[in-house]
Amino acid sequence: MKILAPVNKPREVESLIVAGAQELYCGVLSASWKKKYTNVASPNRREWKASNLNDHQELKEVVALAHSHNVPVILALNAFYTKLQYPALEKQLEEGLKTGVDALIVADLGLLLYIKERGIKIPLHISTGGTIFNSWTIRFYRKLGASRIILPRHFSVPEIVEIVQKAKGIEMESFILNRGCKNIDGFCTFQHGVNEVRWGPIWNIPKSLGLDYYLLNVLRRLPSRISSSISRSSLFGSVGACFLNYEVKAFSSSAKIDEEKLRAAEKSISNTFNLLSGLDPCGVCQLYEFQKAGMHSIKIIGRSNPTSKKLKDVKFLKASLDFLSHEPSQEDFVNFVKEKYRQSYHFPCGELCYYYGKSSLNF
Amino acid sequence: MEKAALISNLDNLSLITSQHQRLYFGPEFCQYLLPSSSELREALNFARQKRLSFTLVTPFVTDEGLKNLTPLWKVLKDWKKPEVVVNDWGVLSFLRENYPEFPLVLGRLLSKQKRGPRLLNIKDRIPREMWDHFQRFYLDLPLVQNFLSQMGIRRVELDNLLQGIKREPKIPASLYYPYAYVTTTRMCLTNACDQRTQPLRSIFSCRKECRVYTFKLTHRNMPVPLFLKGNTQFFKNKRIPSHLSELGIDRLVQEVEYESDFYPAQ
Repeated sequence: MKILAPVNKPREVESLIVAGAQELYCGVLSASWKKKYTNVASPNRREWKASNLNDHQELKEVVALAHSHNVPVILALNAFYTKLQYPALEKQLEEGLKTGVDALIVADLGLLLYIKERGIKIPLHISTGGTIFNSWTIRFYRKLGASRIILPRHFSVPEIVEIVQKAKGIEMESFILNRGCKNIDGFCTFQHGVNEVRWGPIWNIPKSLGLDYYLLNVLRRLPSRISSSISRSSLFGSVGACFLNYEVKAFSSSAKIDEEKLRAAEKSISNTFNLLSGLDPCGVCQLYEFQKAGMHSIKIIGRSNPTSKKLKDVKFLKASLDFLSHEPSQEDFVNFVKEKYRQSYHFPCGELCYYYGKSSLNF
Repeated sequence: MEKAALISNLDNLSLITSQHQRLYFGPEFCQYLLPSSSELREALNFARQKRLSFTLVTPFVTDEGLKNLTPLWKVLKDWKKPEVVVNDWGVLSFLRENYPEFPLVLGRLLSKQKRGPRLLNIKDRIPREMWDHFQRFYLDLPLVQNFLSQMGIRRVELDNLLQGIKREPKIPASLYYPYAYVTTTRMCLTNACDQRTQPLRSIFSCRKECRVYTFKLTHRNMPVPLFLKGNTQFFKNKRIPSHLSELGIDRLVQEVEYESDFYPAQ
């Protein structure tokens, strides 16, 4: 399995590769694109300036550095575009290809068809936005030229194992660390980056400094009563739609549902909408099963994370894969991963898992 | 203008009225709500008795969900002109290969409209061209239209966007009302909501709490209330555009089941 790490600036490329990254991915949000379409309609599903390279010159530098270590660079062009955007999108594609990127991450059917029609020869990775939940969808994308499938977050371990085992002749990739979105990426139509437009460049500052990551890190170490109270503070009331601290009112048409149950249901739903739902999950314990199933790559999410966090993630994965190469029992592997997690991040994982369930593979 | 009624639960057949000429039956968002063969037969019989045209609505599915759809195709193929709404590229691909005679409809999960209500918060701060972009979607591309046509798609399903809709009306469209979906999940928030003992985020076995509970979510930064039904969030927009024919919309799909469920929340 290859470690696929995010990049948002050329200067972090070498350190990530030295730490163990075997593939890199990134996006470009150029000033010209932003002026025309704003960050909300980013060309690559990361709507924050801080998540992206600033221009294709930076991409060229990333590619040159990575290629000097024989590491491929994958460019994300995985938004859903409209016809209006095609002139600018064609330019993005052309400039991206000129830099020598090794593959594209694509979600949009139109762009896939465009690339096929133009006879552009480059490996195509179908983004998690492509919503691949079954083997027939893999077949659908293969016919359109896909060389790799990136699975959605919303799979159980047995489902991942089954779909990876069934997929022949195509690379399979899964998210493994960070940003466990509660909604299905490719079916979610909330816009990110609205606040960057609303509040202007000042909104970029916390993200550029990685303050959102540090804040969540602090919250994670606090007793749950305190972290829960902070995470509901109105100070954070303008972040992403899935973190909004909604007022929740429950209703039921069933006579069997009394007030007590309605209030319990309200509380339960309310608990899922706050800043804490942005805590970074981890799926590294599942590598044992992913490897046996034949997973090709594991992706670290968090293009805007500080380089220090990215390095910790890569080193943690590298150590876990090194240990796995010695063919430990599943129990020993899980124990190793949990201890390594604690050593790497200085707090226990808290079993905030990316994926749940255990496959029926007979190891 | 054809008027259809959408339900996923047979108990709600009573919500179909004489205004409706077509029955949409089935879940768009959750494979656990797929009907059994006998339930599908009952819905088809109801449609036959009431002289309604029939559309089977299907959700996005895992391989397990695909297996569960198999008996439904067998029931459906005995029906005259059985239209199927697909919300999954795999289901589309499967039907194209195995049941090419079914007229297919591209569901609203695949129409990729830009629905997030917070767009209204930035309307005055974005270039005019951007607003146009948010009203449109990828189906305007001739490449896409041709491809979908080759795949057997005869119609597309649209939501009634708060920012308005613009489109090139090459493929006929249906407009769902009065609710537009915004997002959906497999980590169903409603599951076990009144007795939470499991992790907050996971894929649970289903006890169909969605048929019991509805939630209204409000926040000062969300321009309109959201309604959570099962695994999916919606907003309401009851202002139907006046220029439906210019948009190529020749069918209205009334979400009678949601209207009934969300009624106490309004």
